[in-house]
Amino acid sequence: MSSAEQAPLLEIKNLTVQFGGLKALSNIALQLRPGEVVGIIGPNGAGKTTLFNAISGFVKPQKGEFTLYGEERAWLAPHQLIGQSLSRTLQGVGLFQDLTVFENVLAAVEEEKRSTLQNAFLGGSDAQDLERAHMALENMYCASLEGVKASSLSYPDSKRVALARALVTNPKILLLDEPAGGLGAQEIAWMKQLIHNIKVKTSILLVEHHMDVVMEVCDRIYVLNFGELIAEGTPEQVRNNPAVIAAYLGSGATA
Amino acid sequence: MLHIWGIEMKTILETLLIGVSSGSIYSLMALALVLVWRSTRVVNFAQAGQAIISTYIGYESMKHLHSYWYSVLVAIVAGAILGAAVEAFVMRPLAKRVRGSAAADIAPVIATLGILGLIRGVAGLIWGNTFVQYTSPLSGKGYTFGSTTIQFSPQNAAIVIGAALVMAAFAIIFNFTKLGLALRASSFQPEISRLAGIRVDRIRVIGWACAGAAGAVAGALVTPTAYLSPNSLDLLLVSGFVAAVIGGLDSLVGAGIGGVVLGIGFAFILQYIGASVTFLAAFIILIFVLLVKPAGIMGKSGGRSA
Repeated sequence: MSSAEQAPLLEIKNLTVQFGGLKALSNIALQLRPGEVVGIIGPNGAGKTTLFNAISGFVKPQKGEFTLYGEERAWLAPHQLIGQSLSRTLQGVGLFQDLTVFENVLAAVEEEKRSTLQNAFLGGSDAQDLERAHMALENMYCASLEGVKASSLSYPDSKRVALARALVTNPKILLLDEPAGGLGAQEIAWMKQLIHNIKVKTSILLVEHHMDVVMEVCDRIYVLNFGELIAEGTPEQVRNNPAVIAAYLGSGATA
Repeated sequence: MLHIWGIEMKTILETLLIGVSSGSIYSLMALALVLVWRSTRVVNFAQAGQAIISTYIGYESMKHLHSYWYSVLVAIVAGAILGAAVEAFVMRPLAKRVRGSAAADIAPVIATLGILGLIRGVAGLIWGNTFVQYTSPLSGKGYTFGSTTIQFSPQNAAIVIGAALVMAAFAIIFNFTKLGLALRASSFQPEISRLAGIRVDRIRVIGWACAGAAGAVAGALVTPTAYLSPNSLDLLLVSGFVAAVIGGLDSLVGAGIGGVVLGIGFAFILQYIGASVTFLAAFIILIFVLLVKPAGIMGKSGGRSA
């Protein structure tokens, strides 16, 4: 794979997260290279969401190095992600229920310019912002929903809008939190295609329960169990790894 | 004089105007409560205290500025700073302390009651528990048309116009600016807001500052029609709260309508039933709205997710 030689966009080393006495993650190492889709799997409670929360700043790690675009730096706060060309979707809907579809996307696109107070108070949305928000929705086939309140969207539609918001800033890295969760077969097929299409420009880190989706779209997979990394490799390698099979059988699920 | 069913038309119009004037003040107070509720999910009982301090600062500044209108501006700025300070130095640290605990929802509300008591006490120490007058250059005497004088005065007109301007300003900020979008977005889902790049802590401080400014306008405009004392805005807090609940607590438009509806209701009760039941009526209306339409006239049905 050509991306193997390229420097990673995102690299994590020795990540340890502790909640009180409980070690949620210990000594996790992870890399995401340009053009890659990397899956994070593991039984419930393995630490997948905590890993995402650490990367996106909702959880403060006790230990760990964070390297972004080749430069080691402090862990990000959630509001800094967009500015660093990172986006994250949330499990479930993850939209502002009170706002319209268009406003939901606009809220993310306007971040860069909200920095000065004067601009924030007096500045309206300029034409370029509006166009970007519109295009992002168009790309997700939701342009016709622009004026609809998020609270009245169907579940699959709200997932599309959430994706439009995550992609409107053209991020280099996208953290996808269970994109296929709650979707039907047809929408899952659409989601797989979408992931395939966007990975050219946006590298993806993916947490997903649907194993068929993970095995199909991911270039590499990390397997967590009880907060520890028990395997990593290509879908083929991971599928045949005895430790992975044991972890999944042990928790009553199938790999 | 025109009579309908034995009721004098002039009295009805007069009562209506007075109702709109006092209702405008309730609207401003309700707006302040809604802004805080929207930005931090806290019912801010300290709003009356913040408004009192702002009004006293306006009153003090008038001694030097010799202009009521400039002093109103000073009060507004003071109110905004005070609101921001309460959020940044008391409410935010408190919310971080109690996060995840059983007290997380109730502790901030209790704290606002504490701040109200504290502010009142401090105001009493500085200015004494006496009534002072904060006067406007506008007449408190009613307009005269021909031979009849109505109860509605130029100061009442200033109240209505001032409240309308503040409401319009907030409507524009909320609906047409980036800040407004951030304010509307961060109210319910702070996590999503942060991922959208919004600095939620900063937006909350701005929400409290806006609320403080709105409360200060209410205090500075209404006080020339009465007196200023450390407790003089307490009833306004109750009315503002009832108005906010009528409007649905989440809605700026609801706060505006709720205030005016309540003001008109009070004015008619005062005119045709009596002063003794006005205060009682506030609580009856409050309980009635909560029982019949808990989400308010502008509110959505269904529970909140946050």
